[in-house]
Amino acid sequence: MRVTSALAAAAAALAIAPRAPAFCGFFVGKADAKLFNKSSQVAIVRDGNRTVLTMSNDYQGPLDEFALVVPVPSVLERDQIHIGDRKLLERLDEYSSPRLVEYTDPDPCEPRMVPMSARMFDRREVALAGGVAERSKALGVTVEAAYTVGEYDILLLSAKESRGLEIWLRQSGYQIPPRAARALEPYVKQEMKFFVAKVNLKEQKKTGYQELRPIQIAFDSPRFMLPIRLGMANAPATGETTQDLIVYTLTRKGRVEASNYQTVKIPSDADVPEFVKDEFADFYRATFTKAWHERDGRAVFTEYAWNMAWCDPCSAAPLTAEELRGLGVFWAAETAQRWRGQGGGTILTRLHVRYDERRFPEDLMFQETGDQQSFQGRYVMHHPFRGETSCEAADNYRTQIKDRRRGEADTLARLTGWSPDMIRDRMGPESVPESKSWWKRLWQ
Amino acid sequence: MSDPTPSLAIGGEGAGATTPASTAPTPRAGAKLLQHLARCATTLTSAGRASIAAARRDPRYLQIAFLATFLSVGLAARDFPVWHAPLLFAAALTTQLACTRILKLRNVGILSAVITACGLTLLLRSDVWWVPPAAAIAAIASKFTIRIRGRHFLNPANLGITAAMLATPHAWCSPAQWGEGGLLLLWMFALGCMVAHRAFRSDVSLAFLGSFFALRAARVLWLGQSREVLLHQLASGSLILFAFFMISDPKTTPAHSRPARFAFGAIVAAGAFALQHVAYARNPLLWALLLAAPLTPLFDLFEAKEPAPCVSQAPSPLQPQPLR
Repeated sequence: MRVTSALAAAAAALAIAPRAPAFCGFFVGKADAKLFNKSSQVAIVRDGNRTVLTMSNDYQGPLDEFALVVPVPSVLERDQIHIGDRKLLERLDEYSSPRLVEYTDPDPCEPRMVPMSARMFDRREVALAGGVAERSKALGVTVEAAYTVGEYDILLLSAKESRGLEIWLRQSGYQIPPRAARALEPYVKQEMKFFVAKVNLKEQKKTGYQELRPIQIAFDSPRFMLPIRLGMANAPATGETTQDLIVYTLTRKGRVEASNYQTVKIPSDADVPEFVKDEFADFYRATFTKAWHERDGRAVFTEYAWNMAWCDPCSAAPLTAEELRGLGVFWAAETAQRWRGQGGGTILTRLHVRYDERRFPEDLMFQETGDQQSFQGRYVMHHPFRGETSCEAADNYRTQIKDRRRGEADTLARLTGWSPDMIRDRMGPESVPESKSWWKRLWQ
Repeated sequence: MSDPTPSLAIGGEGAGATTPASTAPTPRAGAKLLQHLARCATTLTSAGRASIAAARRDPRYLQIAFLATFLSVGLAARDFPVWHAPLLFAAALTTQLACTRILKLRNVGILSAVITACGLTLLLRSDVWWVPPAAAIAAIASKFTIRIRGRHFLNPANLGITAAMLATPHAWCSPAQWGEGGLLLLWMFALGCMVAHRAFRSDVSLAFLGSFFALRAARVLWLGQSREVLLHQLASGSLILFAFFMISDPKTTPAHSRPARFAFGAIVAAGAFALQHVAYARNPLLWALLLAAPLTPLFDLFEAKEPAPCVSQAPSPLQPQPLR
């Protein structure tokens, strides 16, 4: 039996950035199994000290082999734990993903306005890990409460010292990563409790779901933070050690940012060549990676910040008040009347963190700002008019198109770091040769 | 000539402005004219030297240079807002001049107001246009209105930011906005300035930094965290600004006794630590300084050996004038 232990949150595969094992918590595997999840998604609803955490991961292994461990500020009561709906996180993801917008030029001989369609490319998968832990109170570990909620058996543990907790977990049959005790220690010292969930196979069968549903917990805490340190204990010793985490925060006053790491906006509003439409996932992955390198991998990236009342352009409809309530937005009912059942009055911030042990030595601390300015990762693609033209304006138009294509190629190279040759190659016969410097033209 | 008066430096006009004008050349023999020109040149050269010396001796020029460097680092960090800087500077300078005129005080120049405006530009963020100038007005006006025994005790920039944050959700401070890339250089620059420029040295800054570092290190050790955590916590732009340009303000720290200044620095560090880890407050440095500010007149009351200086008096050029 293997068990996965995740000390913070949950996960979901990020189709456009599936590069790394990612999980807020760490996996604990028996038989030295190399178990990684790809990326995590966490939704945090917060107003005052009230917090609702929705955790989802993409675990797809045997259900009886995994567990989730999350440090929590207090022993949670049964009513504070809820099983959420994966679709709601998918909805959040669709609504807030970086998007590609396409416009088609009109016939230059019949100029008019250009309302166009918006498209968005991005798919996610979500799954949750489950597993076990139970045992005696030796080693300073106390089982404070035990519940079965949905398909999960849940324990709330308190521990007097991290070594005791580690041994307790080992004695319970789990192989702990070597750095686990060190990762657990700060939480034990701060007298945090540990929320441990495993899958109850019987209950799981009853649900009829193939994949595990997200776990939601509601609690009061003055600390607006997300423990990510324990997830790093699970990182492989060699090779790629970074993990991707998407954090959605739902707040009332304004955008959320990290208070102990630099928060920057992802490069946005750039015109890119048409071929990007077919390679948007690669494009965004490259753009994110380049921006991440430019910050030496030490920044948190804002991908979206918007009042849930609307969107422009919409990659998916904003979440309704009902859906928001499902995510734990406890004020949704109150604001629903004013916004006619829509999600107005809630600000969604989407933060993308790519972290590793060296660059993110501390857990993520957040602060809600009063910033209500909207932001989205948005990339624009223009389709030229390709019909027959026979007017004077068409000549000018063709020249403009040439300049535009050259600009788009330059922008793409700047955003992604792709080579100009490769970009011209991808643009095909419509690519514009690199503009030569004046001295090259001089000696031709 | 080599010792310019403080008022010259604070007026920001340079020592050359008050250099005794050379006597008018007499239209006599060419030799005499040449001799006079030579004397004139010597006078001008020494005036120039004095001007540079004034800039050197008034640390506020150095501070403004430092803050401008900081602003550049912020700009390089791309997400740094600069749109409110012109409004903020205009509001700060206008308030300074207006208060001086209304209260009929001697004009002490605008350098301090510039430093306050720099501090606000660097620390205060907002999504509406009116918050930065309103904070600047509150900051500068507080110097003239909130006073005990003829001395203001609230750091103007600190007051401007905290008042704005209390008054409206549209004001906030992003302590990590500079990133970590250029911060090592800024630490070196700030410490280098302290070593190179005697006037930059501040016992309050050192007491604060020493206590803050000790408390942080103790917590990291207690939690069993790695050294990187401590380094990460010190790689904070707002910490540098706070330590070297806010808490070290000679006008709002105990004036008469070095032990009192040490105590003040340590109390602010301990207060910030408690606010962060017990009350879980955001921006604990700013709140700790605001809460500790009334201690300055208290310390001065017990330690007073001479009348406390007044804002309308020219501060010594050998004293740093942080974020005022």
